[in-house]
Amino acid sequence: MKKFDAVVIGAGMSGIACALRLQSFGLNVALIEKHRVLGGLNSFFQRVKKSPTGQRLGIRQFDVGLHALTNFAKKGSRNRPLMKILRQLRIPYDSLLLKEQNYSLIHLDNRKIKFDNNIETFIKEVESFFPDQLEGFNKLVEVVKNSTLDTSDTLYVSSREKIKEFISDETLQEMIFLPVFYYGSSWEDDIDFKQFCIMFQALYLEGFSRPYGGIRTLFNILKEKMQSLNIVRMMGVAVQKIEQKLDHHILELSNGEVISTKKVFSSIGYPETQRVLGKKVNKESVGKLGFVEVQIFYNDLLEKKLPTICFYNKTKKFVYRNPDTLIDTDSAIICSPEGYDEFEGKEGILRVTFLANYKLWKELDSKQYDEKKEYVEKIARDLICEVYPEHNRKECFIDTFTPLTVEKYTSHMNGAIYGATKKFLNGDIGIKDLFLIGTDQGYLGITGSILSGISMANMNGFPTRHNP
Amino acid sequence: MTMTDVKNVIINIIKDIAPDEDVSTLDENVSLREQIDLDSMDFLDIVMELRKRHKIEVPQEDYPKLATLKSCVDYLFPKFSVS
Repeated sequence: MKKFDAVVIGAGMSGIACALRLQSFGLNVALIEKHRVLGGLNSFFQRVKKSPTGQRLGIRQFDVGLHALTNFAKKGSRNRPLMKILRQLRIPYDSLLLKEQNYSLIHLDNRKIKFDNNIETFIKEVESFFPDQLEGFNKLVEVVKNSTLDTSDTLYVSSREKIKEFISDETLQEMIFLPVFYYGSSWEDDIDFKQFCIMFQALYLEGFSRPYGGIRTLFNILKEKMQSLNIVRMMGVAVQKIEQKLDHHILELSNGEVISTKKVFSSIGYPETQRVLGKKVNKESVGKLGFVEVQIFYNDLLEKKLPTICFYNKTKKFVYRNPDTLIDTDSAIICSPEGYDEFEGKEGILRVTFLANYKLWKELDSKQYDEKKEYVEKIARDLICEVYPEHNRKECFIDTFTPLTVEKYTSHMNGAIYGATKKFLNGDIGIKDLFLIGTDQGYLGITGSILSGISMANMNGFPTRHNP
Repeated sequence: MTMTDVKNVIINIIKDIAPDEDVSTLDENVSLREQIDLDSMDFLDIVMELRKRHKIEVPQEDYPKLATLKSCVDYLFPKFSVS
């Protein structure tokens, strides 16, 4: 039987980061991934479009996740999350080829606020459009700047309540929440204030960038790192069962192998981990928020840059919850990978993301499923016309993923990208030497997931004693 | 191993854990934390690399002795001579 010091389940961002850290501690590490390629909730794929007669009409590369890398920091900045991540994984800053965002837009009920990687832009917008809120907004910025993350503080504080101490205008409250919820909340219609501060900093104080080449650039860097460190990678292998022994775990794998490890770091989610442990899965622990994303390719690149990301809400009140229809047509994110300093593609792309109801998608038969995808694609096109009336490029390729696609490729139940509301900030789910990493541990987004893998490895994987 | 060798050992480790930093300009009398933004986790990484590469143990109570490049050399030199 193969024996390891640590096994990491899932080769997404958090799993890879965790494995790299554990390996740097001198441990004997295996990284196990169900699929044959790296990637989890942040990933990539390609699609071939065929004519009804089977003729290949075209092939396109897609990114999943990575609308933007949050927490932008310029080279040489100090004490910033992005820098800590790079340092911990020993990745040189320049290898990421980060390109800064043009600007982003919060578009709610025909009110618009611009922001970019300099908070002054946001402050000026508040001054112009909500002058009586400026003082409170500046105070909020100061509170966020001075906030620190204390993982032992688990008291939930509603941000919807807390924000009233700073912002009295409800429209501005909604506008601030729109990107924060979309990029960082697994709660419906609210977020814990500590998490709010982290997201406010990540989105508004630090801002967005994108690696030239998209998510593949990041995965290629991580892949090279893993190869150079000789991390054992088992690809196309699923963990089917974890059996807890006195001082180790026995893992049964889908290829028939049985391995032994002292520690397990699982990125597959809390309920999914319970399942392989043979425990009962509590329905409450499965996340509620699913998403549909339509990606449209265009023949031409944009002449005049659109906002990098537009956070859109049709009405005055932003509703962030599992919709009771296939998708929530009232709000969306429109993301333009071209909206950065440089873009590698020869064709244009827009990505439109909606909140979606997993159960309703699941009930469709395959014919209905295809029809509904087309229906969603039409809504996405209409929305682009509404938000960007001047946009009139010729479409050449389209693809759409649903919560079912996410579930199939990531194993996360219900395709719930952000997991359940309950997080396990120290990774401990009550099983000795087994730790949660990734979306159900606590941090969301790309930066969050990498940070999750790193911090859990540091907290729970660092060898305290050396036995020569 | 000479004092200079020990210094190079440490510089090489810092180079690896902080690939973006210019180690050639390090002032050996000024705290590393101040010069290259090393946090406590980064110091653990230095300790770990010393263990992995040179089988040298630094107990936790001695971490403050790694504050500057010079204090690192003073502290580690005797350990290298033994091994």
